[in-house]
Amino acid sequence: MKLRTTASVCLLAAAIAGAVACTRGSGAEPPPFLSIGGDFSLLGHDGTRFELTSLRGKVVLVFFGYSSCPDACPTTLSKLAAVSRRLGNDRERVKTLYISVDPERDTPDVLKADLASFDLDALGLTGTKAEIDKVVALFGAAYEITPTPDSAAKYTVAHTTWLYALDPKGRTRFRFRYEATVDEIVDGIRAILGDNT
Amino acid sequence: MNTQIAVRATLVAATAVVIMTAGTTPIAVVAQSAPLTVHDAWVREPAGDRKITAAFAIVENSGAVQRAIVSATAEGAEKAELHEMKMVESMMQMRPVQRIDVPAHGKVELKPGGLHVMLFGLQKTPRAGDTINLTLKFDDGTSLSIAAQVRKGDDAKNQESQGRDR
Repeated sequence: MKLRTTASVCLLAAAIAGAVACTRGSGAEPPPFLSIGGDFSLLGHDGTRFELTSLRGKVVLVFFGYSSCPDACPTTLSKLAAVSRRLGNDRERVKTLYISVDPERDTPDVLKADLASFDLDALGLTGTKAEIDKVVALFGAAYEITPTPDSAAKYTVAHTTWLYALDPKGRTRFRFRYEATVDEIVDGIRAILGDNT
Repeated sequence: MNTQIAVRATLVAATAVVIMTAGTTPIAVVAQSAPLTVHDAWVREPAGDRKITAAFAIVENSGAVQRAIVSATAEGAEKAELHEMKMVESMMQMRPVQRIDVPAHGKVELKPGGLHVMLFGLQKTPRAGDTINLTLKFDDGTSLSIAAQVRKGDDAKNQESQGRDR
């Protein structure tokens, strides 16, 4: 009953208030369906067109970032590499999508180099600003570019740091906070993999 | 605290000393130019071949007057800037700052997710185990140089080990 309540509260919070941290209990309740996400198409770091529908059958982790990000993005990538290690054989059933919100700097080659040092099955995605904005809106994410002419950065990019977990049918089941632990993410992925709805 | 940092103190102000506190282990090394002390300096190993990264340290002020870091330089970087990262409603924001205050009889911690020194235009990508000579300049005209150790960001490692303890 407690688990049911937790799941219901999570679903309600995500649907209505856009709340974030719905960490699931260890029971058998299926993960909630969040009313965010949907299919999209962007340019992959391999230079080819990517369609989310091509990943049906896999759990897909999605987050937004940019390659000049000094802190949050590499931290998330490191964490996801740890998640991948923890998943063992199940790692083959999970794909990470790293969507740049800085297409001006993040060409496919830049994203490819950026991901090369992480032991993670991840695809960097970029595109036109309009294409990226569409995906950002789909997931209820946000970013903001602020010119900083006195800085070597030229401009700074603020962005939401949520990590979305999609089930094998492309439906968003979790939205993790930046602070979510490896365990929480692994538990979420395993919950999705164990759910046949 | 597996810090084992070589430190070089620059004599700019009155007195600059290097203190080595050899307790059990680890060895703590501190750069000091009274009343300011810098220790635990490190640089995050950049992902891939990124030309930017961030440097962190703890700066302590034993004096009765607030001081401030007003600029920084780093060996092998075209430019070093003081920046602040802040999480506001799940949005990670970064902005340059003019100064980083070091409170009287207090300290400021430059750390991931907060205040830090951004290094731009790295001539070569530093790797874990390297050291980078980082210099912090203060509003009283003094400066301190410290050899910051390059290491991988340890956030994920910490979270992973926490997970195992559960």
